[in-house]
Amino acid sequence: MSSSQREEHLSRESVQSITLSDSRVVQLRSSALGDGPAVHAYICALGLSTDNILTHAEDLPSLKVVEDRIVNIAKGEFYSLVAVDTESGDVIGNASFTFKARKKLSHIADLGIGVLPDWQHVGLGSLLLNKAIDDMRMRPGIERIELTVLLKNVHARQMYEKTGFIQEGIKRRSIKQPNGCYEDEIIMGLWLSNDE
Amino acid sequence: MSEGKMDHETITLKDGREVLIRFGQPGDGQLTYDFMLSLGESTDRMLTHPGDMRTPDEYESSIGKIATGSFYSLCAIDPETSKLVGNAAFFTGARVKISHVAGLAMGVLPEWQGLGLGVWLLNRSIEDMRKNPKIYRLDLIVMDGNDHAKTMYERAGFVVEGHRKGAVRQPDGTFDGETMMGMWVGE
Repeated sequence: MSSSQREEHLSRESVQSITLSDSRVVQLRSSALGDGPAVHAYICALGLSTDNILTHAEDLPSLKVVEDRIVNIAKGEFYSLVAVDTESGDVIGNASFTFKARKKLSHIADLGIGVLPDWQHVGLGSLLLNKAIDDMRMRPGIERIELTVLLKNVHARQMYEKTGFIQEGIKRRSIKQPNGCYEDEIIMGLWLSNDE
Repeated sequence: MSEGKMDHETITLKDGREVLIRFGQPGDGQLTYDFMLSLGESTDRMLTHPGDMRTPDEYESSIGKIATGSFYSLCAIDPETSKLVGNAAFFTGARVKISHVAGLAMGVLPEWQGLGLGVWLLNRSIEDMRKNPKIYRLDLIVMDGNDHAKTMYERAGFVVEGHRKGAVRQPDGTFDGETMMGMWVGE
């Protein structure tokens, strides 16, 4: 894709209104300065709703950490796509990428994604995932997307597989849950380049 | 993280040379930088790219984390030159759910390889992790083509957990895969 096509894609796609399968409407857009409190509230709600994510109730990020990440978007060091409930203005889903500082890993984007329980099973996760991957395809230098997902999170794993992610490994007992149980993590990767 | 009691000890390698073994300590930043520079020039099978070497102060900052328990460093020093010639380090992440996991990074300078030093550092550092009451799992990544290291890790008890295609981009633009390995050291 040429740079002019890329710019056109970015401006056209910057804000999307989507009607979900249950008829509710959400807006998908990049996190913007000022979104800090809404994104922070979302991360805390998500963290307390499930043990399927890495964030533990004891290490929820501070508002400052969330705001710093949003500032880092403009520097190219972070990517965050949010789904906003058009009625309440609340952030109810998110897909984010972190990028690695090391040169040998700078072609990799690490995915983190979540949807609040009330908004699951209406296609929102897939929408966020596909839009976020499309955006990575436009991003110069990114060749590979990586993620980890708990072995037991079958629904999410199926979604990733449908999108093209390949299971690359299983880390045994790599996650310790708040109840003291250890769980296995699946490592998945998606190669974006057409060359290989 | 420094579990076993040891100010320093001397071991004799297969070629008769001696090396001094001790834990990382404050003031090692420059020593570590010099070692990483030499190691980085000797191989492309490590993650550090010549263009993103950390500074001696940044290494010093990592060494400062030994006191907080999130970093462990075992050093092999040539007594003749006082230079670092081999190192095994374990890092632990800040997040609660992975605080039982320590990630290994290790290296030995080329002229000190093939003498049993890597195996010694590896086994001693694993022993120390076994004694650490907070650490239950060890993991590491080894790049494709580094079969010697992979065999050494397998002999030490690491198990292959997967392979990532194109996970590393080399300075010449080519991609290498990497093997993920893990070992349980808890009960």
